[in-house]
Amino acid sequence: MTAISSTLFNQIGSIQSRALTIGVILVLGGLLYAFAMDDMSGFYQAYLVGYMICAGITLVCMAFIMLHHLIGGRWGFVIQRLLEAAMSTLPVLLVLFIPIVLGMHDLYHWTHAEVVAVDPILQHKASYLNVPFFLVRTAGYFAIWIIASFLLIKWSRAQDTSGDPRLLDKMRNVCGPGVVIFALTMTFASFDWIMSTDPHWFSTLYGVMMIVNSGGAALSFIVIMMTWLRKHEPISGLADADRFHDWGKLLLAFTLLWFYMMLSQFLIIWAANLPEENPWYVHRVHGGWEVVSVVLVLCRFVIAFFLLLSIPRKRDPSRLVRVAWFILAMHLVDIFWHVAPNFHPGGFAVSVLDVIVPIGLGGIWFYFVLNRLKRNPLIPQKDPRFEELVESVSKSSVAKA
Amino acid sequence: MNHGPAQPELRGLIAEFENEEAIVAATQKTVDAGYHHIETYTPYPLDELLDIQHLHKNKVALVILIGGLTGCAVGFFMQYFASVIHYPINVGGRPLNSWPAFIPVMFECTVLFASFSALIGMMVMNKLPRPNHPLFDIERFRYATQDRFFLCIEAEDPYFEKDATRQFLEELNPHEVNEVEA
Repeated sequence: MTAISSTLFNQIGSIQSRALTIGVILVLGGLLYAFAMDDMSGFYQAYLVGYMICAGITLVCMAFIMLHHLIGGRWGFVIQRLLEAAMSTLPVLLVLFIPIVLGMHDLYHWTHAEVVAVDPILQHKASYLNVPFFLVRTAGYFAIWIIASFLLIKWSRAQDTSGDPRLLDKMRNVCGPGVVIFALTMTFASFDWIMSTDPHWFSTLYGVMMIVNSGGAALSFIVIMMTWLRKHEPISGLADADRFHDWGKLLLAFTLLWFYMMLSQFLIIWAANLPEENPWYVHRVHGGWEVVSVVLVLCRFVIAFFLLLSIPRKRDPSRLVRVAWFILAMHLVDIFWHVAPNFHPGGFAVSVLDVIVPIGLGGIWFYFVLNRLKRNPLIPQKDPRFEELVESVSKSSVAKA
Repeated sequence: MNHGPAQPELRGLIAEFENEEAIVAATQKTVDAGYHHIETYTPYPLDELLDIQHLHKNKVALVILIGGLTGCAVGFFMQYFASVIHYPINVGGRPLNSWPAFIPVMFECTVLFASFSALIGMMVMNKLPRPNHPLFDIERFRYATQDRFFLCIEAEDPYFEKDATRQFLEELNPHEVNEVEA
């Protein structure tokens, strides 16, 4: 049980190469298409959507690890290695940020000096929204995230060999402040990367909203991965119906939170009806965007909510995984809905790029997740909390047999 | 022991077991034998018994769902009635039927009605409140809250026959078997 089995290793390897091939083909294909159609700004928008999906899932996985180390619980133990694999992609995400820097002029209106010169609101915001400070902040976020994830992965691996109980304390010392710092950095990253594509508009709720959106996507990703990995040792014995029930319940909670965030922001802006706040929604309820808005709330909340209410569906991986794919697909629509109307306020516009570039970027990201996943044992070894878990699982499975 | 001329109606037969393993095994055999109307009484909850008796599904969930949806509708129409029909007031040019503003109250009414449905539904289905129960007439039943485990096969079960069922329970090696009078 120290390393993963060679069958699984090979299986991961072949999925990995397929993910990378598809990813690179789609992203490069999108790039060529954008060149041919002279639509580079369309490419950058689609890239930003894909980037926010990958970065969001990665960062929430890191937050889940931090929560798991702090509060424990069986739901987190089985997925710990998967979450670590996901957060190990942070250095890759730093590299993948380069296209966004290259596309800054197309993505962020506030980078144009001639626009700022005639816009008092942007002049007022210039001390925050300027290119050097934007780059410094992004570098700062990544520095914090990479250091935290590096330490957590390093100690988790050290625990595999030494079993030193002090390592858990060390991890907890990082995780306590880490949860707070994560919430702050992800909030500001959401402000910088997504919210500032409409630089006049602001919402203090935006960061939490992005955390919650990404949380639903991250849980869907976890359910999809565990449905696959549960066919292999040692996950097969540990990821039983109770664990899927746990993840299903969390997915339901994040579905409710998603609607809560969407409604809180909408209701406050709708009720106040102030000219500096409401254009964001005005764009999203006119010119065809209202269809996307309604479909999004119907699918991501109403349908997902009623599907997830059922206990048998949450306990059956093969049924839960379908809901998870559905939510992941809706997450793409969700982030698209956050980004695209800012560039097409006049009316609904979607191009082939908006589909292929995020999926391609996801493929590349997934390659690096699997690359880390296959190198370590799938279950943390010698964790002080492990014995307790195995005991309780084996006890309940004996009773069911 | 003689029951006298007017023999009271039988509610069921109850067997006492000394430990967790014994009651789990006995319940499994009872379910396998085809009995449906059975009850188990243990000092602490046993998940295994829920699995064996298929008690994970309960009808309270449906009652809660219906209660919640009713609450949601009531919350909406209450506000609709107040702000559209009864007191139509123009607030900042917004439509009278300002449904986005109704949502928080609709949500609260959903939670309120769902909670009450849960409580009342649970009480009705468990036939609560009930100060006394025929089981309390059995001397040893008080140990169900301490260290003994009880399995009761109720007389309403189609397979229930007083002597055959008694013999069946005796074969499960209980500490003792008692009759529960209605």
